[in-house]
Amino acid sequence: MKGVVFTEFLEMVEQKFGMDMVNSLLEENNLSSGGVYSAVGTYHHGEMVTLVVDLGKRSGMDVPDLLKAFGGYLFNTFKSGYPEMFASATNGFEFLQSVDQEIHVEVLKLYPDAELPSFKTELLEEHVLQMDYRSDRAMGALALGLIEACGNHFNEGYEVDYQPQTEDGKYVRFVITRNA
Amino acid sequence: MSEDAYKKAFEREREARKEAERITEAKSRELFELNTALKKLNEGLEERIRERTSELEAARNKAEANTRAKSEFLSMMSHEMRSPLNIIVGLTELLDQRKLEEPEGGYVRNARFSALQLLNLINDILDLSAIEAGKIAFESTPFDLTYAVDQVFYALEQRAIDKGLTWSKSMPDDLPAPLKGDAAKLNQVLINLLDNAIKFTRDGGVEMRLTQVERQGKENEVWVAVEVSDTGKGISEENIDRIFNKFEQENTSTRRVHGGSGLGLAISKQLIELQGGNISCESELGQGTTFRFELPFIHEPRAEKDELAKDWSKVDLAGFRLLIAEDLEVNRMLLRQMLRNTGIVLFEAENGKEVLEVLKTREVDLILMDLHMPEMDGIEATRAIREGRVKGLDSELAIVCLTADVFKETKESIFSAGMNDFVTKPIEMRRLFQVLGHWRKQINSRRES
Repeated sequence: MKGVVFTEFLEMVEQKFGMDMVNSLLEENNLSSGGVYSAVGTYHHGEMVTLVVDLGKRSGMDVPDLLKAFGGYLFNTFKSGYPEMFASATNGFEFLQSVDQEIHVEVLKLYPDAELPSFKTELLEEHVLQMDYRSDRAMGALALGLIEACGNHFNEGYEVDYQPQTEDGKYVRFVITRNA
Repeated sequence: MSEDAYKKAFEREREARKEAERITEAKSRELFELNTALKKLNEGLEERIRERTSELEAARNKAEANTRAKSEFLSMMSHEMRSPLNIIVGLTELLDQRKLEEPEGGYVRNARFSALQLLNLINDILDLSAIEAGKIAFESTPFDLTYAVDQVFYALEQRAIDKGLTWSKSMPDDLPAPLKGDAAKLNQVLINLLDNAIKFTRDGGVEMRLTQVERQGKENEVWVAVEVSDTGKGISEENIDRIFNKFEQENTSTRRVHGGSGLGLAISKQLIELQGGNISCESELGQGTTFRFELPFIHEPRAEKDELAKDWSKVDLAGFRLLIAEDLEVNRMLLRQMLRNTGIVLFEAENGKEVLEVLKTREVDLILMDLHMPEMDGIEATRAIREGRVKGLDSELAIVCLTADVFKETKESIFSAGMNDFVTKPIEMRRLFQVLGHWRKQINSRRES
């Protein structure tokens, strides 16, 4: 998993729960990276799972809620860090449809070793987009946070129907209805 | 947060920074290597472009060499094919002048016409190759336009009469004369248009109108418009744009019924446009067709009039000493016939070596020199004379080239070898007498001074 996800995650934890929480998560989980992350590095995604699960325990929050909140946080990071990704899209659906076909293509050029989730989209109606998430990371809730943040960014309040397609959470269907 | 925790956080940050630096360094190196590879690829591509370019150059050179070879072949062929034809044309002309009884006279005229037609076809093909190779050269020699047009008109008259067509012309009497231009190319266009008109007209007739037109042009420029109208089958509107294209006739049945190469109009158009003129066509199906072309000529009032005297046969050649250098007996015979009763003194040689031999013992005023002769050709013999290789000989002796070649390079090589003038085959008596008369005058005035 890309290091930027770890560094952003830790920054969010620091903002919301404080430096001590970050310290505990990194020092008390026996991480193989030693809790040292740089944005340009690549780390085992299991460490992220460990961190999120432990944060859930320590904060008393549900893991899916934490991931969803992180998705919203990550969206804003992407927005300020990579404005060019948002340049061509004029609305949220356009942007979501470009994730698999354009953004991930560019990411792979920069990081050929990146293992990215796939997002297959299909416009069911003018206001309804179906988006199929597939990833061994099983982080559908993170994707949900990203999708909702996207709706906010484009001022298009989304109602997102979260439909897990498998029990392991590696395949989730989102049916997104646009209100505006 | 405890001091220990800060220390650990600080330690983690330092490690993270080092790792980031290591990764960045590795990425830089990777970029550098990729860049080097890209540069190499680029150089490889440039090398390939250079190779390709030189391959293309080689191919172009080869194509140009092929074209040159083709052009030389055509020049050869023109000589090979035209020489025997010229003899036929010349001999039938001599026969025609005998005013034979009918029907023999008609046979001779038809034979002559057919030979001229074949000669025309060969000329067509040669002309088109020359035009396409950018090698066509236009004469600018003084000639009597009215006379030249008359000649063509009367040459085709018999065919029109045989077909039962009316055959008429109108020309102004006050056309400036002489005009400078290319009489042979004008003839070619006229023959083509008149011949087409006869070919495509079953009833009615053909009319030719020549007028002088006012055009904004250079000083001394005289514009002449010629219209050839027929009452033939006409050309449909959709085909009228195509008739000037080479190898295109109005439709396939045209070739079946009327024959022809389909080159005539394309050549005529090129010949006219290359001289700054224009040609157009108006037609109505079933009513007839009118071709109109306009051509500029140069009028130089000071040009010597006697050179163009209509009565060229009165040119005084008595006592003029002429050496004919020509390998074919039949051509020498033709010249002997043309020049009999003029009082001219004739010597003959069959090749360049014989020319030099004759010059050692005989005094000669002018040599009519064929280009292609065995042993020593006309160019080589001319060089020998001009370089003073014959002792005691006037190296400024007049040399007139006899040639069937139509290509520009040949003409250039004629003059650069040191020849003074040329007469093209088939030899027209009028041109021959004009040239001989002109040089006799030149020689006399040089001797007087």
